[in-house]
Amino acid sequence: MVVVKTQNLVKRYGDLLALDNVNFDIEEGQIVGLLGPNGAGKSTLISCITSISSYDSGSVEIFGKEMKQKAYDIKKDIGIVPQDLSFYPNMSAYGNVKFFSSLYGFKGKKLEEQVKKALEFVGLWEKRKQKPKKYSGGMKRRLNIACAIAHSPKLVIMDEPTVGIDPQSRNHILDSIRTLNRQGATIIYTSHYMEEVETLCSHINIMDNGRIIASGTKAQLKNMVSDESTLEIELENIAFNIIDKIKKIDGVVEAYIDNNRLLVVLRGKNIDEILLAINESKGSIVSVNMKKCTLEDVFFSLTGRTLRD
Amino acid sequence: MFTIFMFTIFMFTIKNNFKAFWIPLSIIATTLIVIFLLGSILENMQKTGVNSKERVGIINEMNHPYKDEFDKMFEGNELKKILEITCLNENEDVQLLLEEGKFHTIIEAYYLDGKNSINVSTVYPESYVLAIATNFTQTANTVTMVMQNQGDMNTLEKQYNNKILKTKILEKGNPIGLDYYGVVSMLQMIAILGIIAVYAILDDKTKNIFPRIKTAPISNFNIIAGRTIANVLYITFILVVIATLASLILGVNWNGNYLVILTVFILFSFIITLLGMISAQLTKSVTASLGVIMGIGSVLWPKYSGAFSPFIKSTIMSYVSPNFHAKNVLFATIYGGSTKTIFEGLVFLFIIAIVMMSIFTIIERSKINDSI
Repeated sequence: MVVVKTQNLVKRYGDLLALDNVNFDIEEGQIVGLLGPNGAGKSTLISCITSISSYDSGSVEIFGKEMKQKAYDIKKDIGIVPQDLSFYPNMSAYGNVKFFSSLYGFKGKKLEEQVKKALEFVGLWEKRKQKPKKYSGGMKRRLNIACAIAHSPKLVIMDEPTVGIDPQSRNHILDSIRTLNRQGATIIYTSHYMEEVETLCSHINIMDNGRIIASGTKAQLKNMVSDESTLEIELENIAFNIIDKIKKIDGVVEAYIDNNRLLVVLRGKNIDEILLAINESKGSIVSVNMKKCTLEDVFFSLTGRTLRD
Repeated sequence: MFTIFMFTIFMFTIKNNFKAFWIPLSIIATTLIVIFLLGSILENMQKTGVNSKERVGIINEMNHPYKDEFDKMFEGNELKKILEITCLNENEDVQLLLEEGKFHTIIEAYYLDGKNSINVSTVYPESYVLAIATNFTQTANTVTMVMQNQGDMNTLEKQYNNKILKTKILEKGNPIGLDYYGVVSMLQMIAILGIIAVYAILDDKTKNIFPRIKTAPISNFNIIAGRTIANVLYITFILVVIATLASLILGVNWNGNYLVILTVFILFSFIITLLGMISAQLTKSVTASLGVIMGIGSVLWPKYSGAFSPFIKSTIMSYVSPNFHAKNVLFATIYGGSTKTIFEGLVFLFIIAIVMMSIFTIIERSKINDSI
């Protein structure tokens, strides 16, 4: 079942074309990554999908129905984790989650159950009485998620939920997202941290200048660029004839020396032969590092820029 | 669902308002101090601006031609400007009517034992009717006049305390300093509470709550209505607290029709709330909104409309000033003004509220597509 479908979505802010004919499908149960640098249009796309913002042309369907500002039956199944922290800092964590859940029609015992479930899920139940202004950055991010999932949404939209937090909290959040997905939620995850998107998402859309410039699984995206990888070998003694020997090995595209490192661009799995050639040339290997094509490389090859530009 | 959501927002707003207790506390304290200081310094300078007509009841049972002449005399337009005349039956209990405050003065004119007599009973020592009746007896020559300068003050004192008697009788409907500033200072100071409506609107933006609220299955109307009702009731509650404390601590006179007073409080609170919400939408800044609220609510509306001056004056601003109309209605109900004054003031307050609500709705609709 298609959970989210956009067709030729266009959004302008004055002269700026924020979304340029965006076509975008999300299947039920997927974790879909929206990857792109700041200003690529990720947040605008999310705000149009959720009807926070209007759009100039095109269409958005969620759960097979047209998404509108007054589509309350659709909205009750959506949870949004905004990029900026979105809760009342002077109200207890419990009070915050309770208030936002009550906007979805929960009340009484059911409301309390949902709040407890959400706070336990993000590991904040023990600290529920504290005001979020006293929380650490990671705890605030987790509360931001709890406020979005307490009503058990079928579609969770997360706009850069791990910005500015420590690795431990980041891992906790990423684990939570996987758990949510296992429990049946479809997830849209935007980030400019390609490592997160790479480890988390089954399907990735790369955005730039308001357009989706590439879309597919990780493997599909990497294959779009190249199936080559780079072998980086740090050596103590480098023989002058080593380059010629390595270049003759089947699958090696390029080989060169950069200071005390030997860099070999190759296609296929012929590392053993390269290492053997180094040994025969009496080279002393300090370290070996295989550098595969990343989403960063994909983005660079598509746009000529890095994600953090 | 409509009611649940609105109630949720309502309760949330009320709780938040009461959490920031230092705001109303400082407003209440400051208002009481202002009332005390201005009221004490500017004692006896005040005019309500309410045309307090002398309510006169007439029982005319004289013989011809004096009966007709006497009636004709009170039909003149000049007298109607200062008197509110009602014809009574001869078997009315004059004493009771005066004690109940239904009339200030009652004239009993009758023919008995071959002569016409006029008996004037009044709670106004300087009643206009006394002069008119005296003049009539001199012209008619044959009428004997008995003047009774309403003597049963004990009964009135039981009904009202000395302070109210002073303002109702001796001051002929005009308040003393504390009474005057009890009303006008409160209306001026309470405008500052429009700031809570500013917070209600801007909190969504400054705390980035906007995306959550917009994606929740709740209509904009429910959110706005829930918050508005909560803020109106909250400001009304503060007004009632100030009025009660001003009465208990400073002895300010609030002895009017409580339903009218409460209606004015609610309408005024509604207008103040809308002022806060409109300035929040336009300026998008708490500080700038506070400036707008103070400028309009505490300076422009009271000062330039004549709603704060101890002297009676009205300007073009008066028509659009809720302080001016609220003051008129409150003084009219407290100091015996006409029903027309009360009605007119309430209608103006209602119109101002409707106009401001329309302005807010237009602004809100134009902002509905704001992005996050």
